Amino acid sequence: MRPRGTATFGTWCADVLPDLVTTVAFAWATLLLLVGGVLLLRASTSLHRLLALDVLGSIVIIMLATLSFLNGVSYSIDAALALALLSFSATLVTARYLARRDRAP
Amino acid sequence: MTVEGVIGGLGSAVLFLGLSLATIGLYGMFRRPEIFEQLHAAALLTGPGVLLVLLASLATGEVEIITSAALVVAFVLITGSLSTHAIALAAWRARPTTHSGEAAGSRQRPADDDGDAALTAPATMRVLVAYDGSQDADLAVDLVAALDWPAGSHLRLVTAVEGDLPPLSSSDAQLAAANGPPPGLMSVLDGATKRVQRSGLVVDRVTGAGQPAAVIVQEAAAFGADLVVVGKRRRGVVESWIGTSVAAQVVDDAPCPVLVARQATAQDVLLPTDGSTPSEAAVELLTTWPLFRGSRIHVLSVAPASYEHEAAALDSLLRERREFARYRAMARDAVARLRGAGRSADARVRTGDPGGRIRAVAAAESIDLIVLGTRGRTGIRRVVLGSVAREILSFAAPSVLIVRAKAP
Repeated sequence: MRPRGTATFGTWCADVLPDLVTTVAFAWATLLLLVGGVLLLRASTSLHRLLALDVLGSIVIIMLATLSFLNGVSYSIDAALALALLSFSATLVTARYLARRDRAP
Repeated sequence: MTVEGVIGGLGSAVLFLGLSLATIGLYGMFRRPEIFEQLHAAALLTGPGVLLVLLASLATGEVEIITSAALVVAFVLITGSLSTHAIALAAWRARPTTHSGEAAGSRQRPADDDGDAALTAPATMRVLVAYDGSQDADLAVDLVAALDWPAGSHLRLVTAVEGDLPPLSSSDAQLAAANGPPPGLMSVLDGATKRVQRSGLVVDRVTGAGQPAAVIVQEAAAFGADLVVVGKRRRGVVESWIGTSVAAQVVDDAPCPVLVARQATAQDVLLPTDGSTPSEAAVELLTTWPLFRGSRIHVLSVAPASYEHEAAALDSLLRERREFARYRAMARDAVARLRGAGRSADARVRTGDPGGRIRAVAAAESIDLIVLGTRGRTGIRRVVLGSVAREILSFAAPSVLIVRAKAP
């Protein structure tokens, strides 16, 4: 194994996880995001919309992870961690809120 | 092959595997619109999809990336099931429940309970009509009012209301109370009930809370319906492909034939045949059900066409003529059976693609109703191959009566 000091930060990642692969993966994830958007628009009830948003959040986590592989930096995955936290709390709170809503007139 | 190359290859494979699972999960969410099935499909994406993509971080070899990814993995593992459970619990509390409105109509009750007497002639029919107050539903009610139901038949109008999610701690009784029909709905239902009412018919109505297709299918099973009638919105090509309509879902899941009403009469009926079991079932239906006694039935069989460049060869020409003769015999046989049962029928044969020919004939002869048997392909075959029934259901203008029969 090459000692870490002899390679720059960026090229080392580029050697092990080729740029082409991660670029394709990022494009694929973007496509999934658009499809997820269509899913959200198609959702018929509130619960479907909630689930669609949860799924969209997961797709963005995938995109951020792929982005960090592409650029060789770790702060994108830290953003993904924050998104996962917020998405989870939002889903939980919204599901409970929907359950306590008053009947529509 | 260097160690780094191998690691890079494995990492790429894991990354693409994760994305593939995510794609499959997303596709599953499109094809299965019921909330529990969507949760199932979504779990593919939010579980293994995300986890595998993050696992691929190991291939980068960069400690900061791996650590951050490990934190996200731990978090997703712990909280993923919590999110799913919260949504599933709310959906379970709002599952379709049905309760009857007061019975309206004559006090006569049908002498016997036919239950689900599949395609044999029901002496009295139990018909479930889905009504939601929309224009298309009004058209369906008009068609039901125009048809000649046998005396003593029981018509039931079912309406799906969105229903509301009760507080999590409520009991089933509170749930039933919370999901009663909204006040404005009753007067609309009254209007519809009056239009189908006739002496000798029992007409009542029921409302259910939840997704329309699920409510309709559940009620069809509970009611023991012989026929379900639904209206259908006209949708564009793109909309038909990326979504499913209530009518399509009901056709897929109903336990009995489904009439998708798009015209207000059923005077000219088109009956495509191809000799298969489902089309036999459709012919059987038209000969035994008293419903279409007064209609003109046009039998159509579509022979397969040979390819242009094959037409020059003599044996393919002969084959095509043989096939044509076979399909013509099929059509005439069906006509003979229909006439034997007292229906007015005539035959025609076309060549080419079945779906296209059926739609062309339906347009040319101002057909009101197409009676179609379908094998009801499920799973991957339906997705990849589609079916003639689905094409007719999505794109043709006349009403469609779908009869399901499993091929032996």
